[in-house]
Parts: sequence; structure tokens; C-alpha cells
Amino acid sequence: MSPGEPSRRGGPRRWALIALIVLGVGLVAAPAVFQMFDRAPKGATMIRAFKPYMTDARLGGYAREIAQIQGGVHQADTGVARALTGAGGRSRFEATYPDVASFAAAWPAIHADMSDLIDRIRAQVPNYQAIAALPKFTLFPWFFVIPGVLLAALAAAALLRPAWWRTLRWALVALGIGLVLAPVAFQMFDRAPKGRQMVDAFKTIETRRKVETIQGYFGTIAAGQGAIRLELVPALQRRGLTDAQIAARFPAVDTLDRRWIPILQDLTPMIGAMSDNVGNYDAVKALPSFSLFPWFFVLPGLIAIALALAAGPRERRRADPRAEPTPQPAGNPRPEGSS
Amino acid sequence: MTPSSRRATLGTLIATAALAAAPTLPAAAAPSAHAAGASKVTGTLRITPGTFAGGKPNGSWFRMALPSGTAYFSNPGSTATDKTYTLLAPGTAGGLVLGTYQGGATFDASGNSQAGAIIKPTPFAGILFGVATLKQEPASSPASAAPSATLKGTRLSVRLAALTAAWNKLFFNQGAPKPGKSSPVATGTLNRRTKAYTLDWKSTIVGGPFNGFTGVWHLQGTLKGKVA
Repeated sequence: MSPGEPSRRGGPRRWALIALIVLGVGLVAAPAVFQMFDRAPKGATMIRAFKPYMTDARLGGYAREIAQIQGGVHQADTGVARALTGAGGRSRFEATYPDVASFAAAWPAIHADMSDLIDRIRAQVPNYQAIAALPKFTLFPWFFVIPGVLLAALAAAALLRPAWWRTLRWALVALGIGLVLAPVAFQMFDRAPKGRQMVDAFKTIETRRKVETIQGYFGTIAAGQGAIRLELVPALQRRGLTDAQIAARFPAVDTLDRRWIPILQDLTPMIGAMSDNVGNYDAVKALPSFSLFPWFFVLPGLIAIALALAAGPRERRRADPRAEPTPQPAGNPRPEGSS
Repeated sequence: MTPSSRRATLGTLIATAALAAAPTLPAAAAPSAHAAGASKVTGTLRITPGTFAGGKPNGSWFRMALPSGTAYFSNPGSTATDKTYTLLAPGTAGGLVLGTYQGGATFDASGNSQAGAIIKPTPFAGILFGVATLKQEPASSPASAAPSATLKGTRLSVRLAALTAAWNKLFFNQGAPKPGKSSPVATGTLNRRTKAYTLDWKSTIVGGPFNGFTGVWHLQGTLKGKVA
């Protein structure tokens, strides 16, 4: 029997079954080809690690804290500086409080970069929520392997036991329909492109270089805040100002002083989460584009359905020699399937 | 194959088999002090408080190099003129006790470390940091042996894998060697007569907000203990 020729017993076409087996093997192999068994769990780790930070409330808190640092630095560099060294004493202020002056000089660039960073991360909250609502990343490889194994096994069974084909055929069609519907069930057409947007947006955020830049900012801010707290405030106190008077005259400096520990407690773990997930992000980035993920299910599903339908069953060859020959239409002298 | 080449092949096979059969030496069970001709040191490495004068530190101190390796973190809480040096003072145990773990690695609500046995908790960017020796620090997988020391001539070697800095409710292993590794160890000198010692090591932080920062440590003081 040649490929494409119907079975003498009315079974499935071999070529279609072989194609189904190839499709199944392809699905099984896909996670290995894309290194999903290694990368997908790293993606799961990243999603889990980002969870506490990817909320409007948390990121809004960071924005407020950056604003508090901005207020404190500005007031230290202007109002407090004037109070300590007079209107014309800028150079004296810089000479007396070099750590504060250098912090004030470095801060605008840090402020701009950190504000931009928080804004960009904040813009990704809906996309993060979409990606987090997808099935667990650790399951991703199995979404390929399990249907692949089933496809290949059912097609192989049909190849070995053509008599089972009528049942197996509908199982294959059902499996194909399942693959087509899976992205709909998981809302992948909506969520996966959002995941891609987040992965794209983090290309300039979740890098070792950026993390080290932020670590450097942290060092600058910590040193600058310390200089304000340990040099400027005591200098004001030496001029006779009480804590209450300092708070009343320089509320932004007082706020930064009071809020420093909570700011530190908020910022430090975020930097840690960013730093610890650079490698995990790289793994996610190396996966195929999230936008393609729904099609990784839909296309094999459609192909499986098409192949299952194309495979037959074919009509049985008439075995009763006493049966009257079927009249043939003109122009078709040989009945289909005859040899 | 000539007889000599056969002998060489046989020798190679025997050597390979012997190497394959030899038990793997775990990192923590490196050659013993005595086997290496060194003497075991026991007791407490008492810490002399750090001071800063004449543009240089004396006594015990700590610095943290940035990941770039070109600068040090400036600690506003340091009492040194050069704030890249954080001066250390002895804790309730007087220093580093060899052969045992020194814990107390807990925090108050503000994240100040309560680990006060080895060094007195010290301000670091507004929050107190302390030091402990932990068998296994939180979020770190390999277990570490308690500190141990050997002396060969005047060269002091201390295995400090368990040393952990605690700050802001976080732990940073500052061991030498790092947990699960066999080198490099902390090294310095010990005078058998006066028992004055110095000890230096570097330890790069792995993971967390200070990933890639390197702690640079210098302890000095006197040994309250003995050299076997």
C-alpha cells in the first residue's frame, strides 16, 4: 500500500498518522529545544520574587519616598545651608559640609533616574498581573510534553491497530480541540502579549549594570542622608535650635530624618530582588516571545485536527463479488481506490 | 606495543584506578593542621577596638568595596575620619571564639542587629550591623563548620566560612572561605609569645541588595587561648 492510498480494511492513512507522530514528537521536543525545563522555573522564581513589589501601593510608596529624599536634600542644600552659613556662604557651606554638598550635587541625576525607573516599573504593573495570572511557569514545558506524548501515542496506536482508528480518531480530534481552546481558557491571547510587553520593558531595567548603578545610588543616598542627619542637624542644634524648631523650620529635612529607616527597609529588599533576578530575567527573555505562546497551542491543535480528519476513515473496498458494479460517471473510467 | 610502552600503559591504568577509587576529599575536610605541620589554635581571638589617626586605621575595622572594585562604600555612621572604614569594637564575648558558633543573629523592629557577641553592633548607614558565626545562615544552603585556626611559624590561618554579617533584617555571608568552598581562608600572623594576632580576609557578597560588594576585614588583638 502506497502513502495516501486508503487502507484495504477501511483504516486510516499512514502518512497522516506518521505526520501526527512527528507533530507529537515535535511538541515533546519543543521544551528541550527552547530550554524550557531550565528557563521556565527561573521565570517562575522571578514572578514570585517580584510579587511584593509589583503593586501600585508599593511602587507608589517608593515614589513618595523618592519625593521625601528630594524634599530633604533640596531643603538641606538651600534653607539649612542659608541658616548655617548665610546667604553668601555657599562656598563656606560646601567646604564645611562637603558630604552634604556632594550629595546635593549628585542627587538631581539620581532623582531623575530613580523616578523614571519607578515610573517605568509602575507602568508594567498591569502587564505583570497578566503574566502572573498565567499558569505557573514551571508547568509550561509540560503543556507541550503531555499533549505531544498523547498525540504521538494515539497516532502510533492507530498505526499499529487500525481497527481502533474510529475511536482513536475522535480522541485525536478532541486533543486537537483541547490544544486550540487551551489559550482561550487561560486567556493567553490577552495575557501573553502583556507578558511580552513587560519582558521588553525590563530589558533596560533588569540588567546587572542597572542593578549596580542603583547599588551605587544607594551608597550615595545613604552617605548623603547620614551627612544631613549627623552633620547638619547637630550643627543646627549647636545654633540653639531644638528638635521641634528644626522640624518646624525644616520639615522636609525632619521628614527625611524620621523616614530614613523605613525608606532603607523598603529600598533594600527591592534592590535585592532586582539583583537576585537578573539571571532569571535573562532566562525568561531567552524564551520564545510570549506573544507566540498561544499559537504554540493553536497551530498544533489545528494541525492535529486536520490530520486526524484527513487520515480517514476511507470507504471499505466492496468485498461482495455478486454486487452490481457502481455506474461510473463519464470521464472517470476508474473508480477511486481501484488498482 | 613495546615492553616499555606496555609498562607505561599499565602504570597509567593503575594510577587512574587508584585515583578513581580514592575517596573524594570534601571541602570542609581539607588536610588537617597537623598533617600540614601546623599547630591547632584554640580559644578566643579577642578584638582590639578600631581607631583612626594620622589618616590610617588601627585596631580592627571593616570596609565594603563596591562591585566596580574602584571605591569603597562610605558609611556615614563611621567614627573614622575616612568613613569608608567602619571601626569595630569587641562584643560581649570579647571577640571570635574558635571551635564554636556565636549566634544571636536577631533584629529589632528597625532592623538593628542584636548579634553582639563577636563585635559590638555598629552603625552602618543608619542601622546597626552585627556579626555572628552561623552553622547555616537563612537563605543559604551549605552548612559551615565553626571557626577553626592553625598556626604554622607565625602564619595564622583561620577557617571562617560561618561568619555572617547581620543588618536590616538581612544576612550577608562574610566567610573565608565561602560556605562549601575550601579556600581562601583568612590569614594573618600570631606571635606565640605575646599572643598578639592580626587577621585579614576579603569576602564577596553573593545575592541580595549588596550582591557583588566585597567586605574587607581586618581584625587584630590578642589570643586568649593556646597553640597546641
